[in-house]
Amino acid sequence: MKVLKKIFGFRESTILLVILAFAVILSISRPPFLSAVNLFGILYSISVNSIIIGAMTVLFVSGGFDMSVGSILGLSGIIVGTLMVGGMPIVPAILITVALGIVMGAVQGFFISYLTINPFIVTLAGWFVYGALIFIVGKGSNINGFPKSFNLISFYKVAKVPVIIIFAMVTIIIFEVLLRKNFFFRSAFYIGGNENAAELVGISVKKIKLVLYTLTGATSAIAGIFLTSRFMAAYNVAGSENAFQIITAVIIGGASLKGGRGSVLGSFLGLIFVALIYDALVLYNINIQWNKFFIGVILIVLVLIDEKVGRRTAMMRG
Amino acid sequence: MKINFRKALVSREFFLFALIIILAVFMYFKTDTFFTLANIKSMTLIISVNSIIAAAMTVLFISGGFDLSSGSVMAFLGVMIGIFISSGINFIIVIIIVLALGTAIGSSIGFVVTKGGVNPFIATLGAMFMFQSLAFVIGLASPKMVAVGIPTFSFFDSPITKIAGGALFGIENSFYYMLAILIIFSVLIVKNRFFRQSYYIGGNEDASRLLGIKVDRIKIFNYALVSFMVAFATILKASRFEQTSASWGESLGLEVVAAVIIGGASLKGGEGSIIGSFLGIVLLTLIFNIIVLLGKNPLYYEFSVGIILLATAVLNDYVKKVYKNRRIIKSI
Repeated sequence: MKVLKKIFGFRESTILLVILAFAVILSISRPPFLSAVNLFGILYSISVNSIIIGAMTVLFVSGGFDMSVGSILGLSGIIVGTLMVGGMPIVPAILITVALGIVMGAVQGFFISYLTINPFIVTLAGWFVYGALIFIVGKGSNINGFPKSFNLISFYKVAKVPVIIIFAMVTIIIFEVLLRKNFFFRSAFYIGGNENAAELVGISVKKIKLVLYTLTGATSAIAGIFLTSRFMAAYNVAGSENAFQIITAVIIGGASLKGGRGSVLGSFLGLIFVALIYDALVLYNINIQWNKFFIGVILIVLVLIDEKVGRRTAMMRG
Repeated sequence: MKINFRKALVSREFFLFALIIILAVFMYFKTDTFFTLANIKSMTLIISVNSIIAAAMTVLFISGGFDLSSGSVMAFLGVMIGIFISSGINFIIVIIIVLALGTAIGSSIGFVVTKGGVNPFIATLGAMFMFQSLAFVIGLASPKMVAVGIPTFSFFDSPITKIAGGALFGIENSFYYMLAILIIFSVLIVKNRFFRQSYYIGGNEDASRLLGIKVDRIKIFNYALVSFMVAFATILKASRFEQTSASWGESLGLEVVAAVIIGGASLKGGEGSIIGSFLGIVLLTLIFNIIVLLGKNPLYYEFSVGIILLATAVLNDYVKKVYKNRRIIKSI
């Protein structure tokens, strides 16, 4: 019991309850919710975002912000696709794509950390620049014709569980543990709390921030590769909604935009919540466009509530 | 009003003006399609519509605000115009409703940012997604829709086209509206006490509050002003094209923000130039025109805007700061 209390703080417990309530309502009113197809669909879509959300949570804790993850995700899909269709074997193609993802994240990190440009503007520019590159590199068409073995990246089953799900869960656990135990990651709390003070205590703020943005870029690239592997195609529109979903999930999970607060577990639960909303729209046959609307409303309302009420949220825990 | 010519020469506005001239000259020699009446006219229209929004956005930036939602609000209001006009509602009533809607949207955003304490980036990002989806959902639900997929509405023969449909001395009506707004805003931001307070707020918000400046009220006004101008610009566009579509304003949010920053505004507030933002819009429109006329992929435009936005932000916020610090240190 005590172990559970240590893992599940106040915020996480609240979200978990809401999710369970939501799931119960959905199961009763729309039984197809409990079907294997539906549940696995939710699980797969969460998997892709889960890869990124750990890095994003740590970034938020440090006071950072990254809107470009969706574009990097989509662009990585196009890159890995173009490389493999062009004849490159799977492993080098993946390595190059991840390397490029690291570069894309690092470039943004440089502008934000060393040139002190507002992260909203830098990642906004990144969103558009990398997003445009999707069409420039991919020449507007979706990419098909991958070698069959590429699909195994996602779906190779280890003890009947597909790799993609294992990878996502492991990533979440790793980031949660790192955020609690590792000094480098925990310094994100100090940076988010008071950046100048952190600098004065000897924390290499600039270096850490650069690394965090590089991490979001790298995980976005990995997620993009997994997504492409899942569908065996690289789509132009891949990644356009991910940034928004992930950011909302992280805030649901207790992170504040000002930094100093955040929990990977909470973000993961937030992701489940966001996925449930999307699923509910499908089950109730409501136009998918409403998805953006609801997520937007939830985002604003949550931040409002956080500003006005919540202090017992995901503070730094050991 | 004394004009220091030396300072004017190294000003941002002059630099942009020179850049625009250089690009125009380049295009004159490169293609014969650039200096045609049709091309200039279409550019003038886009510049007019966007500059109207950029002018209000400049004031908002000066006060330290930020708004990404202009494009989606335009799409949403466009759909509303389409539905109302197609349903036969008197065009004057439609104009009043749309302007009121714009003001309401802006005020709400302003309220959420000031009284609610929500970060303007998040607030306007959320608003952007909300209105984007609303535009599509409401548009698709309307029986008056004409095109397939993306909700579009046409209304030929409606008197609303008189608003911006005509041309005076061969130049589009929209241009004169823009000119009037630019002049009015430029004068207001210098002479009018209410508008000037935005500079103080942007410079140091807490100090302004202590000085008795009604910070929240002014900021809410600025947000409302931006969305009001978006409504106005949407009406002009609808009037000129005799149709509206939910796909309008796709990259508008980014464009206007980029133009205002190109024009010299700082993200931290306290700085900004109406004329600079106007020139920023002209520059961006010119770049788009060049990309299209030279036959390149239109996506290069979004790419370029992103790069230019980044470069200019670095220039405004980093280079200037370093330069200023060096001058301070040297003068000690």
